Amino acid sequence: MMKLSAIRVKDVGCFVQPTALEGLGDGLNILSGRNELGKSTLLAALRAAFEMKHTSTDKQIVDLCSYGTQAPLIEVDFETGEGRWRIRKQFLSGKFAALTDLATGAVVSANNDVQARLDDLLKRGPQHLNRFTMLWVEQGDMPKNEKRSAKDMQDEKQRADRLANLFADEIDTLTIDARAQQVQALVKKALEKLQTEQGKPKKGGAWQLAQDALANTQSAVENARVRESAHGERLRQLAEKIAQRDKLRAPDGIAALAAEVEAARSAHTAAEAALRSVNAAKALRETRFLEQKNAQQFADTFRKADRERARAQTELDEVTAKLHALAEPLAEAEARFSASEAHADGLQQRVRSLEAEADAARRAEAAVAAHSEFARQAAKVEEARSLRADRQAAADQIAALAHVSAAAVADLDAALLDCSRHDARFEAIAPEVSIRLDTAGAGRVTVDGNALAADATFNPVSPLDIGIAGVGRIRVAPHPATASAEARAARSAAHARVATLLSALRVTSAADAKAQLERRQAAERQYSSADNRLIALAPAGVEALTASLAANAAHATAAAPPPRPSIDVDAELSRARTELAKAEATCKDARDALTLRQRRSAELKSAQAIHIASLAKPNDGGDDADGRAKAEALETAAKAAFADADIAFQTVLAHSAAHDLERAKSRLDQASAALERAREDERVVDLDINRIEGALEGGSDEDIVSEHRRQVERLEEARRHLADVEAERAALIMLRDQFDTIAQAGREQISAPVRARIQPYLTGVLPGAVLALDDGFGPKALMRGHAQEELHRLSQGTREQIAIVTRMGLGKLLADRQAAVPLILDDALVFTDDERIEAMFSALSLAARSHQVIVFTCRSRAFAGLAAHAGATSLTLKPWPQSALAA
Amino acid sequence: MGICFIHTADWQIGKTFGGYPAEEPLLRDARLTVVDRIAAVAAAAGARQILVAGDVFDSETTSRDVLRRLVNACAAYPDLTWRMLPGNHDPDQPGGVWRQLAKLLPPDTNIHLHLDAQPVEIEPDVLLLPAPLKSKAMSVDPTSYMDAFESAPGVIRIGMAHGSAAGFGSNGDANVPILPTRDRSARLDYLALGDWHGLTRISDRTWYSGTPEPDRFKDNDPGFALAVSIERAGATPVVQRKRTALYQWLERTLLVESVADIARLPPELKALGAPAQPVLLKLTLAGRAPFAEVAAILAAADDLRGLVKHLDLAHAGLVARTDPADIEASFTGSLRVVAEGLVASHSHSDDAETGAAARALHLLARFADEAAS
Repeated sequence: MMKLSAIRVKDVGCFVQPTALEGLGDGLNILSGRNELGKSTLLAALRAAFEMKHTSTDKQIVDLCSYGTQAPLIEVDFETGEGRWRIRKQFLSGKFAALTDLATGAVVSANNDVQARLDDLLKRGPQHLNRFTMLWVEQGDMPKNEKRSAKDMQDEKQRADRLANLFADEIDTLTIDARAQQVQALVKKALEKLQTEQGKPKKGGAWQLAQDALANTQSAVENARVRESAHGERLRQLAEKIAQRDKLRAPDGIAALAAEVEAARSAHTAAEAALRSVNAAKALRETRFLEQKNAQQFADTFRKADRERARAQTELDEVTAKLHALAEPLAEAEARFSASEAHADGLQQRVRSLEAEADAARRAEAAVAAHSEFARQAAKVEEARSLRADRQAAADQIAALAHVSAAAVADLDAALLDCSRHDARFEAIAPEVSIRLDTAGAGRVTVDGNALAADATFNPVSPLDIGIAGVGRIRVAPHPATASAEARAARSAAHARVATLLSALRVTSAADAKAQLERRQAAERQYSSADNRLIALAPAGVEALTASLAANAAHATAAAPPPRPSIDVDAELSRARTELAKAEATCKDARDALTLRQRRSAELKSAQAIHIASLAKPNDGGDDADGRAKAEALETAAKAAFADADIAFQTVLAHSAAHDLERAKSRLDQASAALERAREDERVVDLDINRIEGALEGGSDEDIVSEHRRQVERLEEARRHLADVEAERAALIMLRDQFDTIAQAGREQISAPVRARIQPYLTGVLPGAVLALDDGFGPKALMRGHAQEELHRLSQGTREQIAIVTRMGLGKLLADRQAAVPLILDDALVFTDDERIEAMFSALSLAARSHQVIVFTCRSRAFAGLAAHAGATSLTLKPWPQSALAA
Repeated sequence: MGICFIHTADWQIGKTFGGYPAEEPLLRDARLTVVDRIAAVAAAAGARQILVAGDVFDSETTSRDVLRRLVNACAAYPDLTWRMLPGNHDPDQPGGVWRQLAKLLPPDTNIHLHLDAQPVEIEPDVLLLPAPLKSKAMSVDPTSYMDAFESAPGVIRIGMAHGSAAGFGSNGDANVPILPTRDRSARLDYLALGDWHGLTRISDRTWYSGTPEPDRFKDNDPGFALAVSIERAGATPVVQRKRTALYQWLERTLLVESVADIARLPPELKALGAPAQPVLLKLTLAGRAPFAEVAAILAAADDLRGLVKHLDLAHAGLVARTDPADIEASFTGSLRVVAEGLVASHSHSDDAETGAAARALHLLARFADEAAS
């Protein structure tokens, strides 16, 4: 039991002058006064007197000093079960402490011994865990929703322990036992290894490691799945490419196209041969036609001469007959004939002259025709010679390109394909070098000496030099182990084979080789064309044609055309003959004048002589019977030869109708192009297959499918492990919660005595309400009906009322345990309304029956009602007499 | 003139055992060394022909190193001829495992790959009719061609195929159907089948040899090769099972009431040759045992690891009996209060909570022991 009797202060707060509050009674004590009267200072002075050593220089002590002073003096008279005592402490300047037994007036303890003696008196030392000095409620001292400091929590626990010890006999179990606490600590430790306070996986803990392992395995599974998928895609592509190749190599594929090319080439060759035959037949027909024409002209010369001679002979015969018949009348007309003979002779000369001119004109026409034929033949010779020169030029070019053949170019293509296949395999297993340039990096990086202007990726199959300006050089080379020695040797051999073939073809590239081959094929076509035309122009050869021309040259030159007569010789001859007839008629008339018959005879003899002379004249066509017969035979043979040539030409022409050279060439071109496309497709497919097989072979050191399966199995294991860890965590949480539940039940049991003492006061103030307490027996929540209200959500008035009734409950508990201490309220009822304050007065009156209650208030009027309660002591501040102060 | 040959299948070389990371290298190696054990069986039986009826490899991407090891293993027995058939795990496809293997085979190899459905005379008057798979699944019976293939009278006809006959197969009838009566329709003296991992007789002339090295706990009689003797065409074959397994995969479910029940296992394991003969044990504990004895039961079960190569222990079905007397015997003071609280949740909650509560109870006992020590 402890109660206060008096409080005295000097140089404390507003109390510069020595001041005393005396006469405190057992029950209710009330000090009313204005603000700044020093009520809170008195409470602070009380706490310093009992709790602070006189040597303390804490801020709490410094703050106690009155303005301008440094020696706060506090004196408290109090009563315990063991007597009445006075504690006097001066802090800071002139510090001292003294404990006086008021019954004897003797100082029982001084200075450093005072605090220990005081603790002993108030039974609050280590051996007196169930003792308190006093309880108080300050203004604004109400439950808050603030995070408590570690010191607050420590104080709270200490207070709770003291209280629990105080009423240990009222409860069955104070808390979980020591072994259980050890187990609880192990549970907590195990759980802390798994999770953070927020229930998240702890870094480095088994839970997080299991989650990480699961995530890593999931990533590995995905990685393996992607690789397996890529492998499957390669297999699918390979199957597709092989199917394409098989299709190309099927009987209806490239082989069929090649057969079509051969068929088209044969058709084209046949069409070309047919055309050559037609041209040859046509040329022969023309030659035969000219030969026939020449022979006919030659025969016509003989026939014309024969006709002339026949006519002359007829006339001679007629004249001779007339002469014989008219010999006598001719004689008679001789006289007249003699007269006109000169005229008739002149006319006869004229006729002969004209006849000679007519013969000359006919020879000239023949010479013109012969000369024209010679010129045409000379042109043919020239054309033949030109064609022979073209053919020779083509032959020379073919000879110059004799080393270029389609087979050699095909070998080169095959060798290049082989190189590509080896290169593709090397590229498939080559390292991938990716260069990503920064903005300033353009031009600073060189690859094999070439400046790099943009990002690039390489798959080098041979060493790759990367230079970085101002930094140095990097050499990237495929590791020798990435390809077998055989593969490298095979690739080198393939490249050497290409070099050899290029050298043999005297070219540097496949394109050059193909160009050379095309030039050779063009020369061959030129040769063939010139040859065909030459055969058509000179079937017996150019030399024969030249000889034929030479044979005709002399005749053509000798028969150079004479100038044409300026008159119409035949017409003139006709006219001359008419005149001669008239002259003969005149002669006859003259002979009639003598004797008709003599003249007639003379005329006939004269005419006879003329005809005989005419017939005696040499014929232009010759009179040789052998020549005539030969001419006729030649004409007949030429006609027959022409007929044969014409029939042959018509036959060949008809036969050539089945061979359309243009169509055959178009067919050959189309078939060749289709075959070339198919072979190119085959080459590309071959390369693709080699590339895919190379990639598959490059990856065959690892079982991709099994690796995926393994990762999936490990994923299951990781999931099982995580589930196990999480089950462990769930079990640990369940254990922790179970321990918490037991602890909570313990707390409920422990706080029951406190709540039992609080409840009567609480019911008086807040009827029907029940207070929940925290571990330090402080108010935690207010339950009204089924609702639990957080304290910080209550009004300030209600909260200050709860703070007071809680202290009153503790005060009652202490009093019941014979450990009563004063309860001091320092302006603790500021927000309480008038209705509720009456209830609080009743509660305070009730509390004052159990222990001392000291109320400091500035609400004098409101607390007048409280002061009116029976037994209440009204306090006033008085000066601390100097005599007492000096003592 | 008869023939004696070995029928085996489903070697599944390269198979992964991701669930057994510690034992995986050994288990994978055992699938290659089975070649030696089969060779020993052949030598004992006087057989020179080994028919491997599919799934020689576990995947189509078996690594080159593994392929080389197989080639070398078979080459070690030059008197034997190993006749291999693609199955559904390793179908013959462009770029696949068989094409890789073919590149590795030396000219004088004793490994014969039957990649086409082309009958081959393997010995005088003995015709082998293979039915290789070109894909993982087929809707048509790959052995159907055998019906129409004629041979001279007196010739022994042996079919070799991989698939499901009468529901036996790795995936039922779903992957590759095979007519169960093919031996009769194709006049076969024997049909060597693969796919089903357990040794199974379909008829006198149609057998699954099963895998020669078990790879799972499924108890369908794996681990054998068949020594087959056919006296003459038309004669009933004499089929003898020959053990080839190195590892024994043993699965046991024990109804446990006390530690004594676990004690039955060591003699059984020793009878199987353990630990000299490696055993992988999947042990499932079930039943109800006093709570105080559960830890001892689990410890005794765990002690079996000394006898086996691998122990897969499942005890979710082992319920700790938590009668008040059990709790009282196991816990004192506040720990008993905690245990009783857990038991209360044990009896009133659903299975998941029951599982967690049971585990929490075991943890409580373990921590209590730790605190006491």
